[in-house]
Amino acid sequence: MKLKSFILICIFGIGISFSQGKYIEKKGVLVFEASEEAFEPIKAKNESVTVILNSSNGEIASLALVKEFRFKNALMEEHFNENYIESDTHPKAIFKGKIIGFDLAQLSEKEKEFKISGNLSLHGKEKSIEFPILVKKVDNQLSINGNFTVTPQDFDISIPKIVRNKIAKQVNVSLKFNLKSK
Amino acid sequence: MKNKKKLIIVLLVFLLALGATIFSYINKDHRNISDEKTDISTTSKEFFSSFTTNQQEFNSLYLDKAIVLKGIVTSIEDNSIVLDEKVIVTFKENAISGIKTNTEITVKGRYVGYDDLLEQLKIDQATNTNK
Repeated sequence: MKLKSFILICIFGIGISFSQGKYIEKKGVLVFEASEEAFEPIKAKNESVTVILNSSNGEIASLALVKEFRFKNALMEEHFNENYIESDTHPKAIFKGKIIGFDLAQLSEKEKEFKISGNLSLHGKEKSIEFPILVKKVDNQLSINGNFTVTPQDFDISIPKIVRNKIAKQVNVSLKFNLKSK
Repeated sequence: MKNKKKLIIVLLVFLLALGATIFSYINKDHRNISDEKTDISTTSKEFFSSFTTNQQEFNSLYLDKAIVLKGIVTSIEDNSIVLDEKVIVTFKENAISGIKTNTEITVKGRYVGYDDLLEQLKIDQATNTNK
């Protein structure tokens, strides 16, 4: 009888610790840049990126709606959506992965480096990526900063010859997330 | 001699006009959703339920289109509101002032897609059309 109630308490305890382990961001910032020197900068920003982190195991999922990437130049934004990323058929970019060795108890107001690894899918293609991130915890908020590079070919995005030398071969992506405990 | 001069002037004017056209095409303005013709005007609840009925068809109909939605404001965060817990509406800069939770509102914005993680539809570049 005692053992039974002990197990029950354990199960409840696990349930509670799991429900507390969620951190959410709805206004994450993603910036990508593929500028070549001497040409017009190719840069876009998305300020409505969703991120969910399970702090008990470091699993992380992030979603950006492609149409929410805003360019300074309207024509560039139109071309990006219609000809390159084809956002009508592929409206989202999703990352699913894990922060390796993530431990909430070890975080402080001082930034700590982790490695994040997972799959990025967009334009109907998936690619595994791994890159370092900096994580810090202030009050009940986790801030995550980092950047990584991908190439258009990774996602089967073909760049026409005529603009090939105006667009960098490597696309640099930087992220800035501020997750709140839920 | 006179004819040659005329030709040069005509050519110059033509080139200038061509240049101006190309320049304005390259530097055209961003869309102004609030001035665009509305593609659908409905309630946020109905909008969400027609999404759940047929996601593919829904997206092909409304993605990137100007939408007018009526609903109850269930939460406010930064420059976004949530309508009936189902649609996140992000406003243009400074357009959110004066909106209160639990009140009915009509907004106009652009439908940008479905967020699987939040299980909500997203509207951006919105304006409050109650005013």
